[in-house]
Amino acid sequence: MSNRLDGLKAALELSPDNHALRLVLAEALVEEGYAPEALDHYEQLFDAGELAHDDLVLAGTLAVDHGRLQLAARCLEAARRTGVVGGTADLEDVLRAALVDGGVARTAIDPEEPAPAVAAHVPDEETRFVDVGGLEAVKKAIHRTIVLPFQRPDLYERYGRRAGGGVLLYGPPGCGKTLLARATAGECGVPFLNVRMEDVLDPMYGVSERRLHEAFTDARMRAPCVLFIDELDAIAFARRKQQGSAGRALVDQLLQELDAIGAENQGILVLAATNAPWDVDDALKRPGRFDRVVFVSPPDVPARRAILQLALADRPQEGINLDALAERTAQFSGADLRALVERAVDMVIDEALEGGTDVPIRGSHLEAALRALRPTTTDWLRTARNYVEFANHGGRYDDVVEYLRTVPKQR
Amino acid sequence: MTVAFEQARRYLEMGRSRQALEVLAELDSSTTDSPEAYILRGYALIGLGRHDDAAEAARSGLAQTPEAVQLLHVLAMAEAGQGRLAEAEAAILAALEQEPEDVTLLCEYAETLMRGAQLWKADQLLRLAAEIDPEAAEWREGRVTLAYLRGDDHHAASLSRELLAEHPESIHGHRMLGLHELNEGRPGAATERFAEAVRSRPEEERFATEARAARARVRNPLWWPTTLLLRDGSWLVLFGGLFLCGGVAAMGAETLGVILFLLLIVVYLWALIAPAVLE
Repeated sequence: MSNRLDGLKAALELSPDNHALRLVLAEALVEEGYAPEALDHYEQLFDAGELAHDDLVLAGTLAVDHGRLQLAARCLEAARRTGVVGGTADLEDVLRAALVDGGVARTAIDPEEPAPAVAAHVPDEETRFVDVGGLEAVKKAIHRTIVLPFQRPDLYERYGRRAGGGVLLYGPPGCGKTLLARATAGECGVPFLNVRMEDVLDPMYGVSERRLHEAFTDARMRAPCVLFIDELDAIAFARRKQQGSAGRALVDQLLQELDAIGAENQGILVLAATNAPWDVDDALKRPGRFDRVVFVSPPDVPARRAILQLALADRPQEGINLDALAERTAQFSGADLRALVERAVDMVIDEALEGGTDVPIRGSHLEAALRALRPTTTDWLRTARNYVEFANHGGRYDDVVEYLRTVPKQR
Repeated sequence: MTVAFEQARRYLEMGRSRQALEVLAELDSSTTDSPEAYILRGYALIGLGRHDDAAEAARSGLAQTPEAVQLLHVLAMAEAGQGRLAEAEAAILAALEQEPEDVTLLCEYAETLMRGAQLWKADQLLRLAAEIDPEAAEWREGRVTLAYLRGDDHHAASLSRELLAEHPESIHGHRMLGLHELNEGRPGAATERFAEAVRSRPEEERFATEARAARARVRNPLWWPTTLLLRDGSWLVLFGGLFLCGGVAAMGAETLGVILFLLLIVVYLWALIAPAVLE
């Protein structure tokens, strides 16, 4: 290392907050071929908000060259946000190429101790609507309002509609909201990125917001794609009900990310799911954010039949009347129906072990399993009934009201 | 595992004790017996009304860290929930010894004292809490309960309005004001108040039951005489009715006057017995 670099480093040690000096050192390190070390300094400047707009693309490109993809993505994001034009598109291209071609890229957070491998290339989702049992009306609505605008943006743009935006799926647990979101990504032929509560929440101040931002940055890099936020109510719990400030900051962050939909989020379809839409902050349900709200109800009779058929497929069975079983499992969720079949299978295995011969699944096994189970949607339906009865202002939950008319009241 | 704790905390804040317990059940052996786990488990169990289990969790945690304030708080709530007020008081005093200016603890202590009918002492504690943190909702909620327990319904209603002005989402404020409106013969306003509580916590069946009961008084005409009787100035209506009966009789329609008088008596008697019959 040259005397000049040593001198600069010594000077920086004496005044570590001198950002101009740190920038000079970073540039000198690049000139003399010590790019990885230079990137550390660029990152420190970036974190301190002292990296000049003009240097964002330079630092981002350097980061891509040396596998620091996370830093590169942050630089690109900041460059877009601050309106840097020159080089932004090139940086995006090289970053996208690095993400896709690398197969699995290592995102070095600390260059000396690389972070765990991050799957860089997310393949297009393969789940399709045919893989989702029942829910025909919901699938049709999603196809018309989400998939078609995504596949034919030109057509919709002519009429002033644009692809993308946010869709909120809500309903009782176990009724296929996540599967439906996957299938939506599959129908659009784009990757599916899943953000769960545990991926975001962190007790350290500011970390939850940063993680959420990173999830959106990642999605922007991979656009077109579906970004799916599971348990939206937990991530964006209504601020009016919150006592602490940490949760509020997370809602603010999510609002910021969603409000970028017109420009930076082009090609990102943000889907979210929740069991408790009434606990989601109201600001998120306003136009431009999650303005399309879709009720995913417990499966109806044909859907239950389809789910049971799917769950029993490829298993030895004899004389099962699926129609009768579907009739008798009102309010069972998809997960409940699968649990019913699994319980029946357990009984069959027990019998086979006792008798020493193979026993097929019969209607009697399913009947016995049915007697031991109750639908898990009951509590949700009771809560939903309470809510829509007293707080369905504006008719936002009219679909639920309609569905509840078909359900006998529980005591 | 701190992420799991954060998840559990979030669920507790959302009033989802069952989900918090599910997250805590997944903790590994190194964290499942930590004080933090016992604290969160304790609050979740209290949320589910399992006070004996919550007390057990708090004691297990206290065996490791005998002076953990939050565990003592959990223990106090759990003991009070089981009606063991002396034990609850001992636990809350132990907690207050370490955190004498903790508003939540002071208000918890006041609530315990209110359960034991020590209203004067509870009042002093709430005043102290108000001095320490004038913005807090807890002492305002306690003050509403205190006024109600003292039988001063109008003061309780006025304090509820103050509470809601400062903390519009206070479920306690809405319910107490709803109760007052109902007792004052204004079931429509009461329904609105109870509906606010349902809006905040639709999973709480008792809130919905209260709202339905209030709404029934609006919708069912059999309730209307009772509603009228409860209102301020209802005696004026009664005297007005009697005057009308007398006037009709004096004008020569004696039979009609008698019929109206009997009708008035029947309606009045019905207004008195309707709550017992209809509820």
